Amino acid sequence: MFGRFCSDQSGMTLIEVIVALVLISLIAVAFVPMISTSVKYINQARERCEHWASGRSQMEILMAKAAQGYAGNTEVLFPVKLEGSHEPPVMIQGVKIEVGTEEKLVTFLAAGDHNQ
Amino acid sequence: MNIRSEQGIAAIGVVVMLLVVLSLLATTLWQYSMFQIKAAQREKAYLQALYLAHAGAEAAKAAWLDKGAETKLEGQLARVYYNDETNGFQLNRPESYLGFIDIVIETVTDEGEDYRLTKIISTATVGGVSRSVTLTTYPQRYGHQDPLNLYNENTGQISGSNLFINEYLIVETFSEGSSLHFGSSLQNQNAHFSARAIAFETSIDLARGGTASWTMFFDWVLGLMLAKTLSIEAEYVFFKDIALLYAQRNNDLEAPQAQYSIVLRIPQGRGIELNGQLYGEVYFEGESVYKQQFKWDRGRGLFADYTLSKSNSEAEELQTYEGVPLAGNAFYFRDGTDLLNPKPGQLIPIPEEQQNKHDAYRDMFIWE
Repeated sequence: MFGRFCSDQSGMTLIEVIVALVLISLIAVAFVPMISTSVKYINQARERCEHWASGRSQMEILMAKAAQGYAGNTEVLFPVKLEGSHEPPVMIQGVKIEVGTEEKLVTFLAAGDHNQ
Repeated sequence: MNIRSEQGIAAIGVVVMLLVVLSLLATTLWQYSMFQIKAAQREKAYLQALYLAHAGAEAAKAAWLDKGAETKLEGQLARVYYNDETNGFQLNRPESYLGFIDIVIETVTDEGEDYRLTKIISTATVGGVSRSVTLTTYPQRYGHQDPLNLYNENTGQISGSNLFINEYLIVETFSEGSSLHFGSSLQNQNAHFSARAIAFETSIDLARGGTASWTMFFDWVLGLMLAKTLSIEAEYVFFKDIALLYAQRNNDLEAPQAQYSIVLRIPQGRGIELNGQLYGEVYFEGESVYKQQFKWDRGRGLFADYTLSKSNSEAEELQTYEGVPLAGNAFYFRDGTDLLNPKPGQLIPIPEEQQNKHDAYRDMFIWE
């Protein structure tokens, strides 16, 4: 059938071509929102990955600075206690290193490991 | 174009193929975008968990280092939460928290049992994503094991010397009530323990073995001193209780002066420079550091038995030359410091706020 269709020399009328184009466009348009949302999500995901990569590098810089005695981090206590022990926890002094506000990265460096 | 014609059927085929291709393309793109979004969310939680786990390991390391050798933390630690509202770490579960941290401290002995490792495994969980980090110590060698064989692990009797080992050396005996001591022979003896840092997890009582032995006195009448010296060469030394021996010369019995002492030395090329001199750090973490006065007794006859026994005088707490008691304190020590007879400036107290045992272990922990 396809062979005969392809070998047919008669062609299509202009109206047939226009109708076909309209139909194809309608079908394509139906997929446009899905495709555009997908592209938007991909861009968002890329931006977030870049954001976290940047956050990570900032974090590493701050940790290195804190280890060298850079003042400017918040002093906090970290409770350490054996599971099930009735002894009060040992409160480890140190600094909190934080990057970001709402979605933040947080870590802690004990006082003995920096020079503050 | 008639739909029932061959051309019409072919056109429908083309449209269906187009539909299939477009829907496949759109679905793939959608799935990919969803995957990317989830990956980004996981990346966020993964990083948050990683740094919280790091925080837990750091705190556990500090707690482990702060404890004395006998009370070092080991086992599962209580869960710690990071409170989103107070921006602090706490043991009780808050209403809103970023994540929580579970920490395990364990000691691993290798199959040959010639050294041990301490591992701190910190696992943080944020939004269902967990991440673990592990801190491991360098090998901590026991002094009684091969190839060191510095003392008997059951009796505590000192038996050997070693060359410098660039490791953390633990001196520990395993029989209840045992302590590190010299043998009972009344002959001069030197033992040399040398490592980057040495921690005595057992007390030292150098004359514990007694002196119920005998020897000929030809050496002694020449005026020589009976000396047994434990030479401790390390940049950082941690002691428990210490008992040294001292006996005055007894001219009536022709018995010499005797002393069993500890001399502190600094490994070559190491130490902290203070006032142009190199110092190490020594921590006396026990309750007593004293010298016990002994007295000579001698049996009758040509080849007389000499014995040393505790005198009735009370043990004397050891101090620096400047009068600071050693027990419970930390000092910078100069090379060659004899604990029985410290000289001026050989032991400088380390102010409490400057005492930092972490320095001894600064490079001891490594991240896996």
